[in-house]
Amino acid sequence: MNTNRHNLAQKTGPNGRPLERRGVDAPLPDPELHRPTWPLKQVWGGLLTFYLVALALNAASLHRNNEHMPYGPVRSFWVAVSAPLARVTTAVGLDRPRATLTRTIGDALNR
Amino acid sequence: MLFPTTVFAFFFGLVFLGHWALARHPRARKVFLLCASLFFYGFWSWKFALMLLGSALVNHAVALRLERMAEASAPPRSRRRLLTLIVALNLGLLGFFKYTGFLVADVLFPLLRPIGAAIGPEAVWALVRAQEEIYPWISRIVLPVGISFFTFQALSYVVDVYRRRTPPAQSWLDFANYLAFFPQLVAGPIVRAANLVPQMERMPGRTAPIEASRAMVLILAGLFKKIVVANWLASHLADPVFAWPEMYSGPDILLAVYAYAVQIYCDFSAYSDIAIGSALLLGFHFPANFNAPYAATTLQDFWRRWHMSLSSWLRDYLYIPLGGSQRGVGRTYVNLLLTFLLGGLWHGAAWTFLLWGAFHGLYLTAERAVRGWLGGADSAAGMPSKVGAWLGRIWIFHVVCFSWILFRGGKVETASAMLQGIGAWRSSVADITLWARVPLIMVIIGLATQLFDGDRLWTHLHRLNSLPAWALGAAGAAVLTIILALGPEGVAPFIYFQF
Repeated sequence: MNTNRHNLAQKTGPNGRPLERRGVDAPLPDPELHRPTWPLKQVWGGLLTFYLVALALNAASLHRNNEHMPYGPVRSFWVAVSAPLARVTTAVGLDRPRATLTRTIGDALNR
Repeated sequence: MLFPTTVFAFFFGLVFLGHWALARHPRARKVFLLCASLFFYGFWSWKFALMLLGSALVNHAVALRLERMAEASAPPRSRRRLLTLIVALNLGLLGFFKYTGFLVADVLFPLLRPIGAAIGPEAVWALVRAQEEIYPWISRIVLPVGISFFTFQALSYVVDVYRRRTPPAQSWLDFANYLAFFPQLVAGPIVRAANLVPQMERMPGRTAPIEASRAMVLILAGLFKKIVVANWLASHLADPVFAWPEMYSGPDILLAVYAYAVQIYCDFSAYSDIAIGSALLLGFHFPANFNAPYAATTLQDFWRRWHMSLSSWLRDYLYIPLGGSQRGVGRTYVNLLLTFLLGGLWHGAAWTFLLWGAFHGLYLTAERAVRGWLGGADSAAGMPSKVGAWLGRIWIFHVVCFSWILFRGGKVETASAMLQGIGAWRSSVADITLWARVPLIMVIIGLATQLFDGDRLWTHLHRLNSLPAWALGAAGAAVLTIILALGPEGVAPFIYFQF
């Protein structure tokens, strides 16, 4: 599909050996190459951890966003779900990393 | 449903659970995946989700018929007629939704106005009445999100079956899953049937190893590019300057053009990255769509690195059938120009997109002609020196930036005002206000994100893979939190949604 790979492959150095392709000239992913993979069980574990930690670190912010939704049953549902999560994570202090980052960099960047 | 939203995060979590839980029930799994894709699309409009389903039905039925006709040694003319019919049907559907407004309001009426004026007041009044009746009807036509992408996928499928390069899908369900697969449904990459249909037929098994670390890097890189870089560049530089170019000085306009070049790369490649990463977690493989495009040393090289699934589609289904470079020099130039004119029109129904396509076509023609006179720069002897390559990169970046003015301008007047503003260099309205540390840093960071393309992070992926699953998951969540904290409240839709 990518003919550029072939063009790059044709280029050789003064000694006749193919030039090393680095940085912006690096080749595209080659499906034939062996890639680092995980078995499914490990992916399940990784993804579950990802969701749980992401939820814990962002529950307070998520709750604030839910409160800004238009009034109606959808808002009521999501607020009811996120409120206890936000209370727990705020009590434990898990909301602080995001709040600190937002206050110190995010707000200044998006002003 | 947008990728960088909580709704999509929940949706993807549920699809991941269902997709792998049903691994021992292939048929139920295929039905589940199709329902998930239709829910994803139907979240925006159920009517168009049904249209997508209808498109899958018709295209697959025609592909099956083409195959049976070939097996029965039917006359080539009848097969060609059927192919013409289905191509016309697909393009007609695309044309109705995408080009009706443009053809009527920007082509037909501007042509009829002087004719009406020449005929007399009666004709002018008739024209005004016609406009008053037609314009409200046109304004009710809503462009289905991603129609350009799934139409091109459907076309590639029927054409490949007609050419007997790929067999028809084993079942309609497999083809519908190929056409409607949610990660690439609304903004690509345009995956070929030969690549994805066999994956849909087989479905990845529970023992299939998954490129989880690559998927995570791609998804997080995509979120960073979209939420932090593209949104910032759009709201602080590109959008205000393109909206009121006369309010800014020449250097500020130039910076806004650079910002838009980086914004569109970060926006579009972010979508591709998240699509490829999400598909990887479900066990499917998509081809790459970007390969550090602003590192291109020629415009031809740029098109081998930018939206590669579209450029290869245009090459295989338009440029080569037109004759490619096999019918003499003059015809090659005409084919190139036609391909890029239609490529421009594919992006949107506006004169600026046509001009954008024409510019790329003409430049590529000129580039090809110069290369021909110089004896072919593709040979090893013609490889530019390091300095030459960097000069080429800088030049091509500016050539592409110039074309983005046409692309982003929306109207010829806006593009013209932007160009005049750069030419005037210093406006009487405002001083240089945008060249500050943060805008420059954001542009540079955006350019640097090209390092995520291709296999440039190969060694780091190996290192990530050696981490325990919980550690990688937790680290990913921490990076996501940083990205969300740095980004603004709310996320704008992806630029390529409108195409």
